[in-house]
Amino acid sequence: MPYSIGLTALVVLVACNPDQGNQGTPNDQTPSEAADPGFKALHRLNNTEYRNTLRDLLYTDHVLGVQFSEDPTTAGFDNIADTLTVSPLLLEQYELAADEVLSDVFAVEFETREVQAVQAEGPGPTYDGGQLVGENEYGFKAAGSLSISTNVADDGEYVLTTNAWAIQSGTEDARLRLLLDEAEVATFDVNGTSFTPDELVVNAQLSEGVHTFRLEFANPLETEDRLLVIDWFAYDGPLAPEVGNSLGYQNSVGQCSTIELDEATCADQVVRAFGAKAWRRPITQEEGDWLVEVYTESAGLGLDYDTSIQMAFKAALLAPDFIFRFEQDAEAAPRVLNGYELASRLSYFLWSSMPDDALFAAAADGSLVTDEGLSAQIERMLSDAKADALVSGFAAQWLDIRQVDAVMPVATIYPDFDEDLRKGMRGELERLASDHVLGGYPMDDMLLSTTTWMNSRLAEHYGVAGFDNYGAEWQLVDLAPLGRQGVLTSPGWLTVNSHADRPSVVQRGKWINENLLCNELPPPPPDVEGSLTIVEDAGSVREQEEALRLTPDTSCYGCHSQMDPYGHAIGAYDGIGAARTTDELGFPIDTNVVLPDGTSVSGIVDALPSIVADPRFTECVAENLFVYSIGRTVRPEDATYLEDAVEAFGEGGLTFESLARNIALSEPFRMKGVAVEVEVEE
Amino acid sequence: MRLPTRRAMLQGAGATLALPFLPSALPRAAWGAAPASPIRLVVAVVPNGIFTPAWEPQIVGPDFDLTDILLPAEALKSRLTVASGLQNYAEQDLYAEHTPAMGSVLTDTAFEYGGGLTTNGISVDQVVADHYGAQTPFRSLQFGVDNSGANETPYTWQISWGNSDTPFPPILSPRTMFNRLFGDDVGLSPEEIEARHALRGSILDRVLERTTSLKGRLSSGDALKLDQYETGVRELEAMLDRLDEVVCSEPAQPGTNPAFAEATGLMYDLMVKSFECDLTRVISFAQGQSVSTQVYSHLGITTDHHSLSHGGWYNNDQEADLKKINQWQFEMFCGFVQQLADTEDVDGNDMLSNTVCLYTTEFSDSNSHLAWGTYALPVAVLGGENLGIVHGQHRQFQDESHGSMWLTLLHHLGIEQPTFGDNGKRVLSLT
Repeated sequence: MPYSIGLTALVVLVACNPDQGNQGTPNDQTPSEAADPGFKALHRLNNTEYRNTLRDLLYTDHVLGVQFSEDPTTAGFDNIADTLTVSPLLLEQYELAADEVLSDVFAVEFETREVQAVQAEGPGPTYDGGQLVGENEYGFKAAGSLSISTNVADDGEYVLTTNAWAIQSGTEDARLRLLLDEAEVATFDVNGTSFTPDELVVNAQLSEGVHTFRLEFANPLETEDRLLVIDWFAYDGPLAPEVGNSLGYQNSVGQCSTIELDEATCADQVVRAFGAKAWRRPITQEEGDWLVEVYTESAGLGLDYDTSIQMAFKAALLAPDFIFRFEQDAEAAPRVLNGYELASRLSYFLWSSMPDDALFAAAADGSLVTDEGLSAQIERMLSDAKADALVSGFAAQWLDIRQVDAVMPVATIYPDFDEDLRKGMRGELERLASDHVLGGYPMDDMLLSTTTWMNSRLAEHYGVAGFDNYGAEWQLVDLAPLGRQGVLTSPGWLTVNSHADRPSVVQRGKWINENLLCNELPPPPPDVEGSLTIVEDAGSVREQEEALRLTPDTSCYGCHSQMDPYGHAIGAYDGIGAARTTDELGFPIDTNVVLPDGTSVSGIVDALPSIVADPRFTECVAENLFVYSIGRTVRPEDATYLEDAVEAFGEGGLTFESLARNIALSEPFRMKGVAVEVEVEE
Repeated sequence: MRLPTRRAMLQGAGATLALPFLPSALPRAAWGAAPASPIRLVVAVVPNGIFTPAWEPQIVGPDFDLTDILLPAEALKSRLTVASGLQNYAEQDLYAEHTPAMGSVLTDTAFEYGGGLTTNGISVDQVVADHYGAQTPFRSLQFGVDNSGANETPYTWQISWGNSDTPFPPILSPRTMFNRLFGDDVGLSPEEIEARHALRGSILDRVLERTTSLKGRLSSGDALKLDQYETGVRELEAMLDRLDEVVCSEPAQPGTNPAFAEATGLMYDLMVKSFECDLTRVISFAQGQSVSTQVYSHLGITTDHHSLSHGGWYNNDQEADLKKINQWQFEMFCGFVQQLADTEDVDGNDMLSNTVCLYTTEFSDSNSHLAWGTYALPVAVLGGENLGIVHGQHRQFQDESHGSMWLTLLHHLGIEQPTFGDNGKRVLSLT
């Protein structure tokens, strides 16, 4: 009996632990006495994770037509357990999505060999009456038909399709009669319009040899007000027996042969195996029964084997066990997560998706909860293509790469900005992020890198002379001749942190403080004027900015002295990241600043060493990854864990992998704290 | 549900594919008692503004001129009100971005987003949905079109907002909307359809039971989350129950990837059906995404809409193209309105007299991106005469908040709240 090994392992576990299901399993990691891993709320899959999970569970690349509302974010990330709530609308969307994707997976494709389509306007058909309609169609106002003779290669059942539409008149719909060798096969009511023509389908047996199809206007009017128009006619076949041929089908339903076993037995196995995979853990006998009952009810109502299994799958996908990542409560003291709970944490951290068979196996055999086993999985998973999710998930949010899609520079001020440039900006940042998150470059190199990725549009924007693609769209380019370095001089970052019509000193400075140094600054007081209104005869733009916000001993100074110097140091780049030497009023740009720590620098590149040397930098990277990896914000009690992470990060040469490994091996990641009781507001 | 390929659907016998269109298959009329008149609102928002100089009539009052862009409403002129002088004060920035303009046009609230914080007020359609939504299977429906992909923030189609900053995103695919309304059971036998329907309810029942039992084992904070889940499932079930009572013939299932112009038409068709089948009484339609770069090739235009919405204001060639687009957009809306006028409602009147049809856009001046200022926000209202609206006029207001117009419509719709949004403080005259 053909099962896949991974599914068997899960099914076997059901038999061995009928009532344990989700309980902790013994492991060799003894938590420290003072373990304080913190509590994470019940964590639903966010939109990205939901889509990826369906992709991996059902082996499908179907793109959902359902649009989910944007997930709420906290601390800059959209995967934080506390804030991921569930609305009735979301439930409706989950049902739609489940139906849609299952429908796609269970869709049956007929194997066909021959597709012959004949255009009504010719060449090919012979005509009795009628006339050309436009360039591509043939129509009839009065009685008439068109005939198509063809040599059918093989006996068999064929699907005959006619694409047609009509202009109606009178009390009945226009009708098209299809004849095969002068015997009527079907008469269709045609009520399609030219915008939405009908595809009229009928199956017929054809024998090898020459046949003539005739498409006839069955009910013309005397007044010639009713029109029938035909676009094309096709016949496909011969049809082979149905084969559910999607990968998702093969890997689930296809794992049990109903030739060797009866349907009920196969359904039982297939549904239980799917349930365990969908819920990401072994399921109990009762839970399996719960799912199989859906199959049984469906079959009892007369639906076929495949459809009934599909119904059971749907139930599995709508159960909270799929939508949420359940972790058993820690009652009196923090508890160590079991293999399956840990597997989910790990896969959603590194892949934004469910565990794969190898990870499930490591959970099943107990190795995942050991230091060595966990380490091995981390290494394996980081090299897997699915780790790209760290770029589009972690890096894209931490570095605000997603925001590149939202910028709208004023067209009259920045006529050079177009969609190609936007794509280039985003592409550069994604590649930079990928190099560092996945490619092993140290994380401070994100700021210090003297090379970057460019395509030709971006190279044009940067002002690179003689850019040569060498055939590949993207190339690494030396930034030294351009006087730029790292992400803070990349056009994407610069544009995201600008107003629509000019650069933003405050936004750039604020970003550096908050995203790189985790120095959260309070919002401005409510009655404060927004951005600067630039006026003539008041000095340069920088002077006006400083007059507004950097006058010592004003309430603005305390916060802005931490932000604005960075912003001014970056002043040599305009609102779309192009180099400039004069400001909006024509004054020469002055990028000499005194940084908050007292150092004097000339331009942002000069300031980079002090940013990366700031201990807050590595702490901030660690903190951001901590939040993202676990899905909760940091508490004061996490200080020791973060210190440990920073140390490992440093010892690991500031590579992403060293930080990720430390966090994934830490107690907050591998354990669950005691629940924090929530005050329910009445 | 298994979606058979078109070929598999009809084995052997010739048969019709599309079910006939029955305009008056509404449930309540069949039950004998004189039904109360339904109250409906549909609002369509086109992106990138409308070329206001060719929209706003010169003459005020009942003898107003139908400008180039308003021409498609010729047959409906006596059922049309053009409102001018309205301003979107919620968008006060000197250079309003598209997204805040789109987000604030139906809410009259300064729409804030980004940085992890999204806040907005409730949109006018959701106010109506709150009041009347329980009467229909779907509280409200949000339609959308356009995937020109100019701007990929989630908010470019986001015109409908509920309470607590909750966006109601539109469905952009006619096929998906069809499946949502009518189920994906085209080509199935009646027995199979009935079986699937029964199973749908049964699955939801089971999921509800399971959720409730899981809830019992969790800490209070987590139980809250499952509570939300439970509520969601219950509402889905309630919707299923209400859908059960609907007797309506399905239209043909749309294809999977219609072109933009076709998709717009298909969405309007589905809207008519939604009203006819009483699936909902509140609809919003993002008739394009904000910053749409759609190329209206079916009108013979080669430049993208967004560029034209800037260039059209100072370049004569682009102006002609821009006006063509605006006219076509309004034509599609008027075609829909006409269908409502041609359809009988449960109370014997035509559907249009019970339905307020509102047409507006993001900006008053799409080149400067202003939603307020020299030019007024283009607003047109059709229908709803049963609700006391007197049409056939160009009504001009002075520096009036557009929120006041929405407030006025709410009053006509039977919702007499004191204000709407940040600036809708006056009930205007539409009588």
